[in-house]
Amino acid sequence: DTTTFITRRKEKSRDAARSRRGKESEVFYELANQLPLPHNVTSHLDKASIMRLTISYLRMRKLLNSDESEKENEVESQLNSFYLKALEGFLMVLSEDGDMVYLSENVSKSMGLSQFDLTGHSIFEFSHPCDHEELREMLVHRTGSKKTKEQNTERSFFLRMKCTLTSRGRTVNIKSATWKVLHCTGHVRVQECGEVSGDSGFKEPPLTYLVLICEPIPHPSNIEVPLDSKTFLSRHTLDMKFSYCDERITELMGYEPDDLLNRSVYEYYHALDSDHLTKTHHNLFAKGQATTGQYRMLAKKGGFVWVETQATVIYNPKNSQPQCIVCVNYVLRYGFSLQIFSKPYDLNHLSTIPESPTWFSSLSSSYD
Amino acid sequence: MMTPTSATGMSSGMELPRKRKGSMDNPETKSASNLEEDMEDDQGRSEGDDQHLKIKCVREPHSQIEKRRRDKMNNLIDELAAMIPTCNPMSRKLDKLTVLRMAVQHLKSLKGATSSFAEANYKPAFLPDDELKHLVLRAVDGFLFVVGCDRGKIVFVSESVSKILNYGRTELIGQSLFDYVHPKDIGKVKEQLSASELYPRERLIDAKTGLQVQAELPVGAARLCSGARRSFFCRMKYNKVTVKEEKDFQAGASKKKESQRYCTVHCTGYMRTWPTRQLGTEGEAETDKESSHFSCLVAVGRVHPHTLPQANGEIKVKPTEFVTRYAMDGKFTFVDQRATTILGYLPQELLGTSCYEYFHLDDLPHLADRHRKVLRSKEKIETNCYKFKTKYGSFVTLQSQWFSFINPWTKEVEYIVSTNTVISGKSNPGGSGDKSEQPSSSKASEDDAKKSQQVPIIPGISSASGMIYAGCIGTQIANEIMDYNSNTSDENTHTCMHVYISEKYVMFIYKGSSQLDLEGVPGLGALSTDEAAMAVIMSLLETDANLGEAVDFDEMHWSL
Repeated sequence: DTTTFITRRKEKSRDAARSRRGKESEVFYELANQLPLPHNVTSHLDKASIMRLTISYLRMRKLLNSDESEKENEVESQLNSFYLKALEGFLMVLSEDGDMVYLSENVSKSMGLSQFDLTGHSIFEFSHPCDHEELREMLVHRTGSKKTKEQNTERSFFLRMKCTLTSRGRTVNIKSATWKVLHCTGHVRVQECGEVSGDSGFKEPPLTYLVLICEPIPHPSNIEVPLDSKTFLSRHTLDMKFSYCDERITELMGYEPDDLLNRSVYEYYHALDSDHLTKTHHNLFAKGQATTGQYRMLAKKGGFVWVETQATVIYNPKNSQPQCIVCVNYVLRYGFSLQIFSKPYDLNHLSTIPESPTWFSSLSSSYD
Repeated sequence: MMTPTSATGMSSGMELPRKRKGSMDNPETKSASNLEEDMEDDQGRSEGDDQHLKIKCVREPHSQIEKRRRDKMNNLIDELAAMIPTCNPMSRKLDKLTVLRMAVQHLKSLKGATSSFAEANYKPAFLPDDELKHLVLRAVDGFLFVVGCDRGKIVFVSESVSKILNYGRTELIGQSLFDYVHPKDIGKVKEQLSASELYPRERLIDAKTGLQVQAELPVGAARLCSGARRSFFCRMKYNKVTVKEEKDFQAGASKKKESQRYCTVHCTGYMRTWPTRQLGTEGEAETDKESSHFSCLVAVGRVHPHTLPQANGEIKVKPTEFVTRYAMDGKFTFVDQRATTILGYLPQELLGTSCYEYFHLDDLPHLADRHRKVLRSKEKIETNCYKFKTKYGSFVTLQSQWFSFINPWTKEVEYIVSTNTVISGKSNPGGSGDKSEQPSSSKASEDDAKKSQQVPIIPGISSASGMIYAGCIGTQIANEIMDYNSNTSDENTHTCMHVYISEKYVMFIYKGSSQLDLEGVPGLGALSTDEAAMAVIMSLLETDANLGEAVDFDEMHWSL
């Protein structure tokens, strides 16, 4: 009769579906096993993740395909793993549309999230919405015509990414993630895909990708590395006036810490660096941390020293309001050799003249 | 074996317990994918939770969630198919299973091609170390180096050093690092290579207050242990001669003097202890007689060309701008906050006052003309450069663009928008430092201030027997246009002249009608006689604290 017929039809389709799913699962399992990953990782992957990782793996193969493998001796091969370990931060490869095609394993040390949880996902899912526009600009690479000047391939920017690490080193759930500022530096690269795929003679378009090293900026309360004698710490109110300065500054720049109190740090910046430093400060206030790159700071007796600063906004733990800014300042080198000045600052590009530094009329031997 | 995917597609390898919503959530961390998770979570929520969170995460029908999951899977399949060469040329869309099977085949074929898979001690890695190294070098402009902590001997340096420092690998290996470091940085590098006693104090920052905390910590052992990290800057010698050229000169007898150029290298790395036997021929073992271990620093040295400031010496100065709005008669109705840093006045100090009070005398005719023009025109009117008096008495040079905003209903001018650009950077007391060409009279204003001067005739504003406040000009101009618009034939052929009494005050003498238009001046409105008006104004002057010296009225020029 009809009812049995229908029931049997339903059963058949159910069985077919089950069999299909079974076959699917089998293939997924096979695919997972083909990935060059340890078994304990592959056995825990869901179907979407398997596909994500396969796609990323194949994309990476494409990017590295035409690389000439240099002949390495054994010692060199041993040292290959040291490169990543020596760097403070992790490696990230982004496709043109922002997919995290590859992240190095040590991403979990900085961010808590594991390598394979992130691989294949879009960076936009894991980064602060306010940084997305900047990020998109970084991903663009206009090669232009041969006549126009080649665009700079270097990239350096600050990105807030989700971090599931607590300050004590424990991991929290992704929903409780906080934002961590990363200094991302690297290059945009274009990979020509030389091979002609398939029978159609279709040559694939060149791939644009971004290779970055993403380094967290150490929080001044938690600096792992020893600071040598050529560094000094300073604290500033939010308008960048000095509220404290380490006494090390005296031997490095000539100032007594008291000389600087309540003076704005902008008084000491070289005019040529002011543009860049203003941008850095914008980043600092928008994101919470920033590094300056190399810039010049006025020394007490004239002349400049080259400095690189890591700045962090300290928030009041009770009301989460920004409280002050702490800077770790690395003095890199002593800049211009000092000249005999007839009047304060013969340098016509200085915009302000600090009042306190003493004018001098002879070469000082304490600076380069 | 296979666990079902969550809506976000996140790998369930993250086996962390899901926290209750609202407990520790930072609203900022929510993103699209999080919301998807939230939605799933919602099904397990109790009634007592925050109402507003509930509104955000509307309970989605299961079918919607399922549909999204299916779409996501399909997208991934398409992406995967695009990566597999055998799938690509297919004109028809392949079904899921076939794509997956082809993917398996493709991966198998790649396995054969990649050498790393064939190695005996093959450790499955998404990316083998050598390729990882290449990637790192694509990201950073740097080189790896290993130096002994004892004497700074360079045990190893990577090939890429030639690109950075212009020295060949072979000439560096075995040398002392200190031969290549700037003399003034040798001390710093020594500190970093050792647990130096030079900086026994730990300088720490309290995370809560930002204050520095001094702590006496035993430094020695921890700093030297394997794995301890280092990060520092030092200047390294940079060979001006390219490596290639040097090779050419090897045979020759010419002595190539090495140029002493340095570049700042950012070194990051860690301490590593090597058993001496592993070093082989790469370098001498510098060891303690007691231990058979060799302690060294493994670091990557990077240069950051993009962080260097511009070398061309060009200072890009953005023109300083601020916006103001005037009523028809020139009184300030809006002042941009930026004006304060330029003019010295707070916005509220300017509101209600007439712009003419601040314009330099020499610029008045021109500006009055522009004022007239902007009220009659629908276009933007540019002024020439003119001087505007700041709070502190000095003048700042501005150039403005004026534009009348006309009410579309009444067709009357509602206000004038003024975009003001600062021409010279600072307020110039003497006005002599201006480099820009100014078409308007740019005599040093303060010099002229003391002398009584030629009274500029402002066209259309007649002199009168009375005296008027500075705002008159603006009012007059506004009245003109209103009269013009209302087509009255009343010709106010008033001329106005002004007399400079002191730095602070400009007296305007307004002649022509018995009714003095003394708008804005308290107590002066609708006075019938000139003398009465004069008396009031004089009393105002006398009570002004700033007017220290007596005014010599004999010096005033009256044209009657």
